[in-house]
Amino acid sequence: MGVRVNPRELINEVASRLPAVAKPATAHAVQRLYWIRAAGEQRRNIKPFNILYVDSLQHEKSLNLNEILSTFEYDVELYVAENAKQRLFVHAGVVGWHGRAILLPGKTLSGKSTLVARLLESGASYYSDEFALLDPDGLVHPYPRPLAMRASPNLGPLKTHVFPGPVPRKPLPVGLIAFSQYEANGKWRPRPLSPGRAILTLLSNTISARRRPRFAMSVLPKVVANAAVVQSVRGDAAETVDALLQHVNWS
Amino acid sequence: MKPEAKKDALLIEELPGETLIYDTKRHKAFCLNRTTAAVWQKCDGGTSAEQISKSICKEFGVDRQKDPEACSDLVTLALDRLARARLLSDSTRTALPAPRYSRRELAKRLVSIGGIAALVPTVLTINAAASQTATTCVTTCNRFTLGACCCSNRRTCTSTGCDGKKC
Repeated sequence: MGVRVNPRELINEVASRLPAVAKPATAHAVQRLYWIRAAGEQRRNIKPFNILYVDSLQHEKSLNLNEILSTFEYDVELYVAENAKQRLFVHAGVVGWHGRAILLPGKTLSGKSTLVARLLESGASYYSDEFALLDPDGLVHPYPRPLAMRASPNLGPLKTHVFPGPVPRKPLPVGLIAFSQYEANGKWRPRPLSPGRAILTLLSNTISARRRPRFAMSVLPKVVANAAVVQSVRGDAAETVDALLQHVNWS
Repeated sequence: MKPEAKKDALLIEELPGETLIYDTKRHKAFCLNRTTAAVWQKCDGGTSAEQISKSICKEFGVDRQKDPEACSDLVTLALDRLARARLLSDSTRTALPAPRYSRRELAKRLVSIGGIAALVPTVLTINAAASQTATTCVTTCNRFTLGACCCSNRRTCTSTGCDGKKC
């Protein structure tokens, strides 16, 4: 994809909004072209709109440049997740633990990032707090981005943190999949899920499930084939992580 | 009645003890347990419900002598579940009799004749995620984020803002 910015000084800010796995390309033709035009100096009777164009069409305009940049970031991520040819993007937190991956799929605000942060404190390695990138063999690849959490468990804007240490490059087989939902007084009482039920639940968190169902249906059975799968509501993250790691029997 | 399964536009994945089906037109995914999958596979439009129930009895070792109707009730319930999931042809769906027993009642009957409750037909259904709903929440709503979840109030984006369903 290509990105044009105006004025030029905006390029570093825009580049920081691209996925960390993005690499410069030498191709002259792009599949998707973004153009971010920041408002210039205010003139009388003209509102200083910042505008985001996607493929020459106006996508959003706002007086707040940060809103435009957030929409750009969201759209890029969604476009990549939907159109990646060799990867299936599942909305999930991922950590590595002794050579295998722990997947924490869940909708937004389910508390994935909190669990990921706690697992990192327990010695896990950071793969992602947003997407599990699954290859055709069912291995999970890192999708590094700054760990983002909210001030309150349920609401509020994302508060972005820095990268929590070095990100490994090695893809891992999945050892444990834990579906959890935060509830204020919730207690972690995991019950095992059958492979079929696990795949259905993963499908409901898979970005390109509708666009590429055949690919999803070929990859997800390989993911769950050798993984333990559990589901529960949860309360305190620290208690949940302790209990989760008891499920981990490959270390 | 000779039930017929709907098979077009479906992706099918066999798992141990379960069958996954993805309907590429409706973007729904289904997980059939062993009994329901066996019934569904026998719905070829040429085999009657009675023949299917005999075959299911034999396949799953249900004792017909202890309860002659258990198998036909099992198949009727499986067909009902499949019809609700729209995995049977339209003509079959309209011709189906209503099941006489609920899943719970049938499970009790099966256990009482030495069968196992896990034979009771189940069909789990989910809607495949629309890409927006499967991602992290958005800060602003516009026509490209319809259906996404708003960070501010946990409601989905509509054309008028963050005032859709709870997410």
